[in-house]
Amino acid sequence: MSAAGLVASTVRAGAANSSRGGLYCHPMTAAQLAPEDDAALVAAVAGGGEAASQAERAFCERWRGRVFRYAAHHLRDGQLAADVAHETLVAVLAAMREGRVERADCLGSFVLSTCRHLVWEENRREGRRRRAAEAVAAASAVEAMLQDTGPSAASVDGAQLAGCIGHLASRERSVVLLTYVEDWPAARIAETLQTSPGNVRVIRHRALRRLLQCLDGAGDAPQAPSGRRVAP
Amino acid sequence: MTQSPCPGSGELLHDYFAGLLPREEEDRVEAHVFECDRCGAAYERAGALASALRQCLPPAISRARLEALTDHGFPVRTVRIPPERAVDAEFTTGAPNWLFALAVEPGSAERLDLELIGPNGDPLIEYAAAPFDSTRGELLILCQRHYIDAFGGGEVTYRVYAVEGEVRRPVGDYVVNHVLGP
Repeated sequence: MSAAGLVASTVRAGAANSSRGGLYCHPMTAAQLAPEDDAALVAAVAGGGEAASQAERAFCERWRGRVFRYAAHHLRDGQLAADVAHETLVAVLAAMREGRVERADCLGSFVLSTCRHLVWEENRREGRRRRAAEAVAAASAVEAMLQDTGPSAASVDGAQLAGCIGHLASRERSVVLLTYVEDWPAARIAETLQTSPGNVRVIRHRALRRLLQCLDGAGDAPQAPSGRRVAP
Repeated sequence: MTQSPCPGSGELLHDYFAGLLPREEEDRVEAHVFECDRCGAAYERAGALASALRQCLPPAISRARLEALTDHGFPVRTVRIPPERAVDAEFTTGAPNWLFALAVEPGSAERLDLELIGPNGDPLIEYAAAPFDSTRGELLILCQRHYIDAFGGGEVTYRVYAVEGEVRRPVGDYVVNHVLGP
């Protein structure tokens, strides 16, 4: 199977299992490699055969989430991030197949540097596109913005998140929404809520912790300090 | 291979995805999460949460956020509501989302808080520091059909408070009768 085909099939399988929220979709079979043993992964891929096929799948499943999150953070576009993540995994797989990964025990660094380069390339291309003033106004643009279609994004259910946000205290909810939805800097949030930027940071971290707990279904949803019931 | 030490808490990752770290520290975080599986998993989780939060469409949004949406084709239909008025809003499948532009005179308020009160008078949710369009004197409420599941339709009161120092006073009630259409 081509590197591109393997990456695509792994990503599709991951998306199909998104309801489980799992990062790994294919259980490893017997005589397999330990996923964390990158040096063994590299050797197995270079060696070819059935072991190589399993190692390549393990590689994709192991790294696709981190690669996507890195790309999404730097590109701020889910669709572009998915494309770059795909390119990254393909490029690294090809390097592994061709024996070009010199430091097999530093596979993570190799993956990161490959992804970093591709993100940089994408940003350059994006700059050229903007300068050419090409108008893009289509449903796909709305899709990219409203629905992160990357391989790991489905692990946070939007409706569930909305419910969890509803269970936060009012100030926590405001800090989170003003930070992430409205992109307000901490200083502005602090001034508006009549508190300090340091306290905004504390409130934000507390809110994010509660959101993760709520998303994981840990315990009862927290009540607002005032005791009032809030809508899901 | 020598690994850099784990950061010890998720807060650094949250700051990373909020774009609050200096570049050198971002680089350190990235180098670490690509060599540490435990932190790598936490990185993915924190990134997924941040990404999902950025795509939230809470009821109260800023004019800038609204324009970013509509510039990309997000369909809305707007109704401007003066205080102490009631309007009907029908929600039908496939129809544009409703935008309620609450006309507010904030006076010297430092911020506006918003409270949603359900059909039975039960408080539904509260937002401190709701974004306010001071140019047009409007507090924008983006209402999507799925929000109605929280209270099943009917009259919702949007109560706006002006906050000045320690004082919080109501400045207007705006009533919308949410009608579920086909």
